[in-house]
Amino acid sequence: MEQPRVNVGVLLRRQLIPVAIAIGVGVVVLLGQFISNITLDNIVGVLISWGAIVGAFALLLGLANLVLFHTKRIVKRDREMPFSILILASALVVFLLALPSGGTGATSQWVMRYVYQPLEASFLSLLVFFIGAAVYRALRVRSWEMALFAISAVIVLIGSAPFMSVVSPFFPALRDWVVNVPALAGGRGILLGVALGIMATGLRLLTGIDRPYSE
Amino acid sequence: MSVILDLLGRSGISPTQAFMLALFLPFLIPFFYFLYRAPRSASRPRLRQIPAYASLKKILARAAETGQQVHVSVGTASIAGTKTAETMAGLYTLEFLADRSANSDIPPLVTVTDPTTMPAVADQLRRAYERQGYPDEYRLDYTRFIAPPVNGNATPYAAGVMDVLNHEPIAANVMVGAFGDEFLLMAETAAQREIFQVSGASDLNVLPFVQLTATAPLLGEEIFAAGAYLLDRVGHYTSLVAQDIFRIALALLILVVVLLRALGLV
Repeated sequence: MEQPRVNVGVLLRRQLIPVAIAIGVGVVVLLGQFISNITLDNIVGVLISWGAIVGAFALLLGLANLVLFHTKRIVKRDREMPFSILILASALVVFLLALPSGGTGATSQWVMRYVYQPLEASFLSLLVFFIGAAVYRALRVRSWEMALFAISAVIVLIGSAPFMSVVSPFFPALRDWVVNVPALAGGRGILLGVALGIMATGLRLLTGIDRPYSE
Repeated sequence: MSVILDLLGRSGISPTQAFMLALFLPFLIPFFYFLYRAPRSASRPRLRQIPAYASLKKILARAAETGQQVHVSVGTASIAGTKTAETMAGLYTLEFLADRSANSDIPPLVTVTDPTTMPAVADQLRRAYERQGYPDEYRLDYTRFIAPPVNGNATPYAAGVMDVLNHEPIAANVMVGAFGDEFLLMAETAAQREIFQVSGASDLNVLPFVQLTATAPLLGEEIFAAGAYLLDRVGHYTSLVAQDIFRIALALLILVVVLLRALGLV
């Protein structure tokens, strides 16, 4: 029986070279975390700055994706077409405003301070209402996890109210106990598991078991 | 002790780095041992049931029935940063969904905020269509770049996703990865529309939001088990076993230190 032919060039280009580069760079950066050495620090610095440059190119890809998507919507005369026009127009205006002075220039800073930041702050303020709605829905779900969740939330809420320390020292003390004993212990347990998960994921990438960057 | 510290200092390793190494190096033993043993072992370890992973298998059927897309988010973090592992967990979940979606007429709708994550997401989708034998079916616009994070804050992305969840026909919402407070804005929007949600995060501040809004939540380390549960990969099984053993060892170590401290011996 004829054996399937292995294309060494394709194998090298698509698998071996990307894996070798990824493992090599990963090991050097990892060593940089554990050993303080000027040469090693310089090499790690260069590798990280290369990563930042690649990241900047990725931003161009993202912009191209955004422009393509909204242009398609406009061409198709989609129901959401007015919003697509608005997005592209505002992106173009900000780009033209920022072009002469750059991203850190006075015009860009003005746009950030007087346009973006107020919008962001108003948008994030919605969180209060969203939390209220989510908690209200949780109270209607009859499961023991939600019951524990609701009881803990009520204890912390009542215990944190400033006038409670005047009414009775019990609620602030109970709040401190909930926050410092069961919540802290649970939180540390979760963090321990997360840290192990991160280590395992990192090792799988570093050893080439997972190769999201090659075929 | 001073001799050890002196030796470490001369070799360029600070006490903090030595402590990190002391935690990292022992983890390599079970990790590589189980990886070495896996091909020689006939059986796989039995995994406990995680409802979120079981429901992920059902939501694609729901999407096919209703003809609506599944919205997927792999988090707001970069592929190359301190949250890479969380983003990878999201990518494994996406790989599973993309593989199955490629066999149906309903592609997933993946929204992205970090530019470095976008090529990884697009590549994951492209490869899924190639694996399933439909490379021509893949379209670049299955990945939708919403907006980049501003000063590490993904609020613009959250606004875009809220719009998608509010105005587009979505059968299910899957959000697994690294998120900040903006998670609640997106997840609560889906919850109010009664969209089936599978969400997972590892940040302690976001976990209450996940628990409150998700139909099937993935809490903390559960997100890192996606490869073993969904993709059935040997390397993921073995690393789960290594994690469990190391966790038990650490818990015992903590108990011993607490006991020794209580007895005044340390």
